[in-house]
Amino acid sequence: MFSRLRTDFFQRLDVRLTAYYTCILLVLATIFASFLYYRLEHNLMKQVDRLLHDEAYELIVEIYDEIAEGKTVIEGCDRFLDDISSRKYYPLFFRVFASSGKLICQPQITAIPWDFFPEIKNSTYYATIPVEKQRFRLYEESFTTVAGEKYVLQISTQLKQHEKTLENFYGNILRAIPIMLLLCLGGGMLIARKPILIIRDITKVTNRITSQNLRERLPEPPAHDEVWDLTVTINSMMDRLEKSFSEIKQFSSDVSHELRNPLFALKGSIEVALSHKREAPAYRETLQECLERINLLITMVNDLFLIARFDSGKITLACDYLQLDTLVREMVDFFQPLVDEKNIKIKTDLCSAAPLYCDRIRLTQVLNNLLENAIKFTPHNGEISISLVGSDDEIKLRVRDSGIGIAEEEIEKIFDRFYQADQARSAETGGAGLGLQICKRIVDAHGGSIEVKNNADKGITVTVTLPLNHK
Amino acid sequence: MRVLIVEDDKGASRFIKKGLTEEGFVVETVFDGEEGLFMATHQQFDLIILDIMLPEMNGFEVIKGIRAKGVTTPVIFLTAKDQQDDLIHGFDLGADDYLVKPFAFAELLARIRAVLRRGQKENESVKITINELCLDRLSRSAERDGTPIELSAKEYLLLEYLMLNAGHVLTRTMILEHVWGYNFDTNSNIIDVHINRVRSKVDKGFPRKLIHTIKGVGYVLKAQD
Repeated sequence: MFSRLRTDFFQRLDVRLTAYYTCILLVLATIFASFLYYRLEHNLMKQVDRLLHDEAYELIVEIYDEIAEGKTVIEGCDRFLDDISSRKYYPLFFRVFASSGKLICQPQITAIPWDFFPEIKNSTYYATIPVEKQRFRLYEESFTTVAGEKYVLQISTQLKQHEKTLENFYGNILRAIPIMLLLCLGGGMLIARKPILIIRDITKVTNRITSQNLRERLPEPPAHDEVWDLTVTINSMMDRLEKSFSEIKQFSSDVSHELRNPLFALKGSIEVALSHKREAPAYRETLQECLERINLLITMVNDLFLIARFDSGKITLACDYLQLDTLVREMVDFFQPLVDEKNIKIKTDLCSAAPLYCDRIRLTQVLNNLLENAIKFTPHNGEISISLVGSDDEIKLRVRDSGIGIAEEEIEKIFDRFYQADQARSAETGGAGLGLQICKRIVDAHGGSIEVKNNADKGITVTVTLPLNHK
Repeated sequence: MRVLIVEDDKGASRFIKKGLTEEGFVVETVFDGEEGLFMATHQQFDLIILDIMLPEMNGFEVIKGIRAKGVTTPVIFLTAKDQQDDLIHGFDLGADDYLVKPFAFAELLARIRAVLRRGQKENESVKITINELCLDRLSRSAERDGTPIELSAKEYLLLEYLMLNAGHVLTRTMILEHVWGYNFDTNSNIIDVHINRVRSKVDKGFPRKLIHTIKGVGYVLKAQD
């Protein structure tokens, strides 16, 4: 059973969650880094272009100055060359053409691969020129002297520094992303692990729970989160299971107890009858006695079955509108001979409330059981009062007897199966104490409630409340 | 009268057969649905008692087969409590009546009589006379030896039910259902008390007692010599 906990590493929920998070992070980081790289390169290039533009302007100004002093374009170029000779990071080099395409000046500072550069286009433009493993940025501009001579200037710089910055950035990203991923893996596992551990605890404890061990409960986590919800839900499920289970156990033991005694009596009667030779009437008497006991057993089994059918929701009520007061009167009439026999006085106070939508047979059964009990427990010359009080939305039926009453601590148990207020009396009058159980099921099925209270003087009052609007 | 019992519970089958034989019926018993269908469609019976839960073929399938062959023999279903809801289905298929197990034998007899009577005319005589006890169903009154008997409405119904079934035992459950329309068990002896009231009105002061208690079973109203 325990081996199920040691699931395959990659099947583990925390591992899978962390892997998902990490993958998402990797994709996001790659997109983000690519974007940054592109922006950086773009900006760096723009910077280089501005530099070239500025320097070209400077050169043109110098040439104009020299020409104004009566010197040549070449001398202007030389003066500019002096200015830029000290540049280290962006070494500049340039050449000047006449508009006809004739090279006028091309200072040879370093070995510059001019051969790779394009011819003049007589326009203003930027271009990147790859030369072997290096790259150069070129800017071309044309200008006209005061004398009206048109020249074209090509100025260029090597993109070495630019590439170095980009490379540096690239390298940093390559180092940062794995570190981020590692941190994400570690942190993710750590965070994902906590609820997983709690779930494992839950699994472990639930695995331990069997029919013999329904008492165990999960420890509640301190935080009121989803795991807490789960724990509380499981615990309350366990509560319900434990309750039903103990009810079932109690039920089985009650039933076997209730069956054992009458079966024992039956067996005894038959054994005694067979132990000696007898005349036919004696056998007949024994058989009749046995039959009566069996009838009681059958009644009990039928009652139990009815309760079971109510509990499993298999009973469908055949409802119709009927006057409850008429039903009560019929029932009182039915029991009148029994009441007369015990000289009990029945007081009725029945309002003719709105018709109730209910199952006639089942409600008659409720009345039958309530009156039966009331008559059973009310002594000779006692009194029973039945009242029916209706309001807009419900009808209250009260049956009040003047019997022995019930000990307060027993009242809760009165709706339990096989509850007997008085064991000795039940043996005499029959019935297995299922009457009130059945009443409760029927009343519940009608959406009502049933309640038992001791009277101030003597006896009990059973109150049945039935809603008028129950469908 | 020939009766076919299709019931797989041998115990139940045996007591029904014994009881019915003693009542003068000729009884055949089979233990599964297939055999039941074969017997019902190949031999002549006056009544079929058919259990619902059967091996091979259930009771519903059997009755379907029987009716499909054009056999109109009356059928009484036997059913366990939890199949009660299916019974409407059974009536649709052409059953005549049903009984819920466990039932009293007297009740089975009463149902059989009722089903067999169904084809003929109901006992519609206005006056029923048993010995010197006379019931007038028109005026809903009774008299014994010319002396009128005061009866309440329910007492009249009870006496009428007993007299219509004179000579046959009626159980408390049957009386409760027939006279009051209640189809549940009561744990009290209320039926006995009602019977005693009627009995005291009918039998008191007469040497020949008509209403008899059959201990453990119920009551019977019987003519005496």
